[in-house]
Order: sequence, then structure tokens, then C-alpha cells
Amino acid sequence: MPPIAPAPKLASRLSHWTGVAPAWLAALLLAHVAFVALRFPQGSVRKRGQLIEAAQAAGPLWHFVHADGETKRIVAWLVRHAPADQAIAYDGPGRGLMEPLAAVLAPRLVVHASLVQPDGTALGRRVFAGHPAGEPANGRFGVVDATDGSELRWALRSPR
Amino acid sequence: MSAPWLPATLALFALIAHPLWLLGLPLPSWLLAACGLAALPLARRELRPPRLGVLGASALLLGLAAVTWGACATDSRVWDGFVAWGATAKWLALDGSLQQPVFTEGATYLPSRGYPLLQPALLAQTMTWLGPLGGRLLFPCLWLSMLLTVARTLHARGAPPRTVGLCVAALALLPAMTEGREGAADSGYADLLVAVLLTHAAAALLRDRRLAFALACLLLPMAKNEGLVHASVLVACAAARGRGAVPIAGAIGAAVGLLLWAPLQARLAAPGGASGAAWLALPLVPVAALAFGAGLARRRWRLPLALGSLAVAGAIAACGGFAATALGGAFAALGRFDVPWSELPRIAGRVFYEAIHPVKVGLTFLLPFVVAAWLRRRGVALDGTGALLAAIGVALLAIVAFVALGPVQLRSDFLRTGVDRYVAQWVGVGWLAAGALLAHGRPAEPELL
Repeated sequence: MPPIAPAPKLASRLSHWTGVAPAWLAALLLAHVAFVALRFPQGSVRKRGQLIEAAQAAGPLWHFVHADGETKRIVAWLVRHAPADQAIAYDGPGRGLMEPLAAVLAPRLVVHASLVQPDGTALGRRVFAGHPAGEPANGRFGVVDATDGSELRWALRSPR
Repeated sequence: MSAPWLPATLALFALIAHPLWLLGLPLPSWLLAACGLAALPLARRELRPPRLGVLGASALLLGLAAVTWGACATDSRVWDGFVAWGATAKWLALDGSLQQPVFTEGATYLPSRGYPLLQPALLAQTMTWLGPLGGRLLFPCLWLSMLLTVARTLHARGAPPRTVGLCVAALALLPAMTEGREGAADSGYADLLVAVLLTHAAAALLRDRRLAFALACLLLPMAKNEGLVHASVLVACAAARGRGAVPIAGAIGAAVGLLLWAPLQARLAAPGGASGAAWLALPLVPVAALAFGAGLARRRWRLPLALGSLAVAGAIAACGGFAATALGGAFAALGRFDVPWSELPRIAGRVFYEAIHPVKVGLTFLLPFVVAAWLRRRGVALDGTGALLAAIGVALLAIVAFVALGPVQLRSDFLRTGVDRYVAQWVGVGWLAAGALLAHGRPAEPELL
């Protein structure tokens, strides 16, 4: 009768199953895999689903969710009404909320207000001169006032 | 001579796109597809899918589904992915040219002015073909390439299939890449592209493949500014390992990449201004890194080569290459030896905390060093894997140096949302090193009594 092999201990089973020796290294590898696998449903699926749902609901205003209501109103109005072939003027240092505003307005050019010419153009493009409340431009151009960076305001200015 | 399909495709694309831009010409919308086809003969041995086992394949499919869903459901939901990388891609998608006012007129508003163009150009090409959201399939494709490279390389190193499957699962489900935070695979940041290129470069080092290493080093500086540092670190570590041709190929690749990208960046960062010739010094950085590494490998050359390469690095810092970027600012501060010593412990602590952050990277960086220590204690040589560990270690120190020497006003931003991304760029290299080292100590075949 052939000799019967003794049942392998847990450590050698672990090493054999993972292909890693010694068993404590195999256990470390398995611990990492188990941790990331357990985290996956919550971190990569549930949280991502919530974020996607919120982003789809916010649309172009997603990067302005923490901004004040007036900023959101101006962004939504510009996205809807500024023609693609016109430039949008801005004033201020260009940090903060100006960054997503320029991205959300692309391919419209965003130019500094100091570049607007007396004829209401900048870099050869007409500068958008509408107003959310329907105020007539009367030769003035619109400008996004981003002095603060944490809020955006809209005003009509006369070219210099 | 062969090379993996993805870096070969991207390198062909970059080698055509950058000269076209320098000449003021637009990229044709079919360029990426043509480069993909042209790269097929180079990659004929790399196209078979590696065996991953049930666990590895399941984890890979789960991760791929999450990243694809996250990438294609909306435009980038994370700040820089939207305002910097994604916005540039939208401009490039208009006609593929840099002759548009947004690039040629410094007075137009573009927050990412002077950022590398490789990822935006790739995204612009895929967006032209597949639409604004469909084009974002680029990101899951890049992520998949990183996973398959790890699997293929570990198979080639003789790792048991289950070890390969476990390492792939460990990387595929890693929160730093699969959860949608800054720098994750679906965030739209260029950190994923850097991670993929680093993984390809590390795989080429492990397999002594000159062309693949050269292509990855060529692409790194074109992907993100810190790619210059990454390529130089890899070249130096490969040279210190003492295998002649591979680090030389890497240094040539990185130098060519910089020769094509640096003049374009100088032009884009200051449109219409005098860019000077400071950028001409940048291709010397990987060459200095090669000399430094080679000097470390040969005892007699150590001192002269170390001093020579330090002098080259000092000259580069003094001449102001990359001046318009945070990395250029760090170079300049290094040249002035303007080190904020009191800040160093806080910065170093943060960097090393991010490297062992359980919820972001788990054991990615700890495990390879633990296995290496165990193997060294048993007298087992680490073979080529030692170079990867050295590269990870030097890269962590480079992150500390960059955050310390970079612009003071950006330091808290870098510490809050930058350091974890910079560390996560190395996750593919971490699992490549861990798998290769675990394969060293694999158990003998079981014997039945």
C-alpha cells in the first residue's frame, strides 16, 4: 500500500495556491487584494454612480456647484446665449472660477477686457454684448468680472 | 526588434505631430489611426492576450467596466481634467492646429498654456472619431495597456500564473486608479498616461528591451512636465545597474523627445515673445543622468562623472529651461540652492504617507521593498528588479524636492491634491516590481511522499 501524503498545512496551501513563498508574503499579497476588492463596490461603483448622477443633473454647471446663485445664472446664460464665433471679455486675475468658465465656453475665445477695441472687437472677433436682463448694449460690450475668483458677475462697459 | 503596440503607436504619433506643429501645420484627423496600423508590425509578438486566471481576469474586467463608465458617462468631473487637459483637447479637436488664436495670442485666456500636448492631442483625435464622450474611451484603453503590460512582463519573467493573476487584481482594483478622484484613470488628468508610460519603461528595463525603453522615455516628457524627471531617474537607475545599451537608448529617446517638445513649449508658454535658447539645455538632463548612473556603476569613474553630471544639472538650472512651469521654478530654486529646510520634514512626511496610504495605494509600494529585503537576507540577487526599486525610491525623493523647491504659493495645493497623484503615477511600476520579486521566491513544486 503506497504511503499517504500528510494533509498540507494552511501555510503551505497558501503558498501553493498563490505561487508565492513564504506564506506570510502570500498572506500580505492576499490581504491587499482582499482589501481593494472589498472597497471596490463602495468606492468605485456606488460613489462613482452618485457623482455621475450629480454631474449629469448639473450639466455645464457641475464645476460651479459651490458657487453662488448669480454666478450659476451668468454661466448658464452665457452657455445658452453667447454665439460660438464671438469672444467673451473678462476682467480680473483669471484664477478660480474663470478656469472652468473658459473651458465650458470653448470654442468661444475668452479675452481680457483691456484688449477690446473701440469698435467692440478683440483679436478680430466681435465681443459678446448681451445682458441677462435684456438691458440694451448701446455700444458697450459685456465683461465677466472675475476680480474675486470665487464669484463671477456680468457688466456692460464702454470700450476705451 | 519589437516594441509594445501602445508606446510604438504613441511614439509614431508624437514623432509626426510635434514636427507638424513646429512647422505650423495641422494634424490630420486620421493620424492616430494610421500610426496604430503602422505600429502593428513592430508589435506582432505583443498582441496575444496574456493568461490571467479567473481572479485576474475578473478583477481586470471589473476595473475596466468602472473606468469606462466613469470616463464616458460625463465630461471630466475633476477640476484640472476639465479646465486644463480637456479644454486643450477641445481646442485641438477643432482643426488639429496650433495656429488658432487661443494658442498664438498670449492675451487669450487658457489656464493650461504651455502644458504638454500629447494627451490633449490623443483625446482630440479620438473625440473627432467617436464624439466628445466616446473619445474618452482613450482613458480605459490606456489603463488596460498598463494592466496587460504588467501581466505580460510577469509571465515573461517566469512568474506562476496565479501570482500574475493576483498582481493584476491588486493593480486593477487599486483605489488610486479606479475611484474617481484627482489623477484617477477616468479623471482626464495626464497622470494616467504618465503611469502607463512608466509601466512600459519599467517592463522594458526588466526585459532588457532597448527600443521599448527608448520609446517610453521619448514619450514621458511629452506627456507631462515631470516626465523629464521620470525619464532621467529611470535612465540613471538603469545605467547604475550596468547594462550598457538599454540606458543609452533611454537617454537618446528622452533627449529626442525634449528636442521636439521643449521648443514648442517655449513658443506656447510665451506666444510671440522671445523664448530664447534655454530649452536647448534640457535634452542634456537625461544625458547627465546617464553619465551619473554609469559613474555609480564603475568605481573609478564615480567621482568625475558625479561631479560632471552635477555641473551639467547646475548649468541647466542656471540657464532657466522650463522657466514658465512649476518644474522650471523648482530647477531655478535648486540652482540658487534656495531650500526651505524647515518645511522639508512636513513635505517628506506627506510624500511617504501617500506612498503607504492604505485607502489609496494599499501595499503597492511597501510590498516590493519587504520582498526585496527578505530576498536580500536570504542572499538572493534582485536581478533587474533592484533598478525599479531604486527608481521608485529616487522618484519619491524627487517629489519631496519638487514640492519643496516649487512655487511657494502652490505648495499647499501640491500637498493637498498633488502629492498623491505624483505617487500614484508609479503604481504600475510598484506591482511590476512586486510581482517580479515574488516570482523570485516562488515555492518549489510540491512533492508527494
